[in-house]
Amino acid sequence: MNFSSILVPVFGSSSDAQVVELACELLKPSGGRIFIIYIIQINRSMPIDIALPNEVMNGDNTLKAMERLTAKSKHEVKAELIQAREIGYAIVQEAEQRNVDVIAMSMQKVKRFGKFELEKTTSYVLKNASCNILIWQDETI
Amino acid sequence: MTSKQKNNPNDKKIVIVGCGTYGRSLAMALAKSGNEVIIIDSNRTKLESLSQLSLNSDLLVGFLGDATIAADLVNIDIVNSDLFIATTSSDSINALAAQKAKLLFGINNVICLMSDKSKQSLYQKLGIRIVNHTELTIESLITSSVES
Amino acid sequence: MNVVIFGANEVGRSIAEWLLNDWHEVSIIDADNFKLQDTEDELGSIVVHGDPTSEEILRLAGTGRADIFIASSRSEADNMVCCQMAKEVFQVEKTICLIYSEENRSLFQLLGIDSVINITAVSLRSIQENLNVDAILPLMYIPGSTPANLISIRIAEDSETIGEPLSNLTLPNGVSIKMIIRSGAIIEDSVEDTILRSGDQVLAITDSINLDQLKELFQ
Repeated sequence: MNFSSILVPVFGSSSDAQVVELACELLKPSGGRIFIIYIIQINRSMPIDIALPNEVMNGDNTLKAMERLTAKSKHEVKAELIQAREIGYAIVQEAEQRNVDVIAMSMQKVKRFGKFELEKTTSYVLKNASCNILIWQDETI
Repeated sequence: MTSKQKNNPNDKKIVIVGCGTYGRSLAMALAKSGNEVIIIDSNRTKLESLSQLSLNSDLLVGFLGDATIAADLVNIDIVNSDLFIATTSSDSINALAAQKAKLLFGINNVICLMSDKSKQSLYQKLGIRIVNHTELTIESLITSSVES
Repeated sequence: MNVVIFGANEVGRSIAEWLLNDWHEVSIIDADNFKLQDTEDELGSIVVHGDPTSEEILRLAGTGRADIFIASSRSEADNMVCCQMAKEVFQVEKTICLIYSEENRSLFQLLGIDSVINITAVSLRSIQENLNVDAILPLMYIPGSTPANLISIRIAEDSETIGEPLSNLTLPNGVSIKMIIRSGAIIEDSVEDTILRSGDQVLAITDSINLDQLKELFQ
């Protein structure tokens, strides 16, 4: 299965690198496009275009690290920082606008009340995205 | 003050909004201690549950009506009441009825049951006493568990 | 502008859509998740789920920086409480509350809600305008030091005003005619010189609430 474009939302977590590497391998060996996005969620009590230097710095650092990882590949890499009200909604929108074949993203294993639970963003993307979706779950916990 | 001659100067004329668990128990307790109580609810079945309680008192009267409608409040002679207590399960309905009693009919003593604490100060500013029933229940539960 | 709306029903959604098309920032609160899902599918990520009368949900929806708060739900009591919260707790400049009968208008105005709009009266007026049954329709109340009404008058077939230039007519005190509409178009000539015809629609300002005199003159 070789894809020509993949969207990878990163969250500044330890699994980011694994998902980005996996995405590179899934793309056509001759070269494909990979979009890496870092989304800063902006509470509605603030304007959507507010400048949050700390969050932006974290996001930029994460994106730069991911770009270094993909530097050796033949793929066309685009990394972008996005400010949005809802992370899940922003991921689905980006996937649609860029018309990607796949969304590849990691998820945290969440246990609530002693039971496994799919967290909000992942379940939103699974429910609403119209392309293929790959979910990577860390082996931690 | 009521226009009616009273047996005891301490006995008050009280309007209770909502014939639910809270409203009904409150109405019975207040009537038992000699107050004249009108309980208003827009649900006939709830009001009918009053008559099953075999009240041997004519101090407690049920009224089928909507306490957020001024005409119904006039019908229960609200202007002559000493105390108005809103006890329905909806904070918003209680707030609407209480503000009508306070601001349109000039009732001095208005008490409003509310489950959400964040709205408390807003209505207290208007001179409406807010009672949070969850807190009351918890308080009495704690007291009784400490006692035992 | 930043606008917070309570009520993801037809009214709330249409207001939101109109504001979004004009590039305003909008969030819409409702306690019903199904309605919100539809709203999000249609209008994007502007929805906030929860009890719209609670301070926490209002804050989450960005009421603290809202210029306008609109309560458009079916429950007048809920509309009242969240408009009061918006005004008193979040100091929103303009609060608009929808009602469905006149019952609560005076109380809501007394509570400091800036605009109280009776949806039923609005639709009734629109139907009246379409039916042309009444000769005189109040269009807008203009508050101010001398309150006035903008009214629409339809000229009846046998009105004594027909055939005369307007300047020749003696209008009741406090009435002035501003515009004449004939066959769906505004007459550009000076109002004074226009000779009225049957079926004309006259827009006038009057400081009187008694419209009987006008009715007699134009019908």
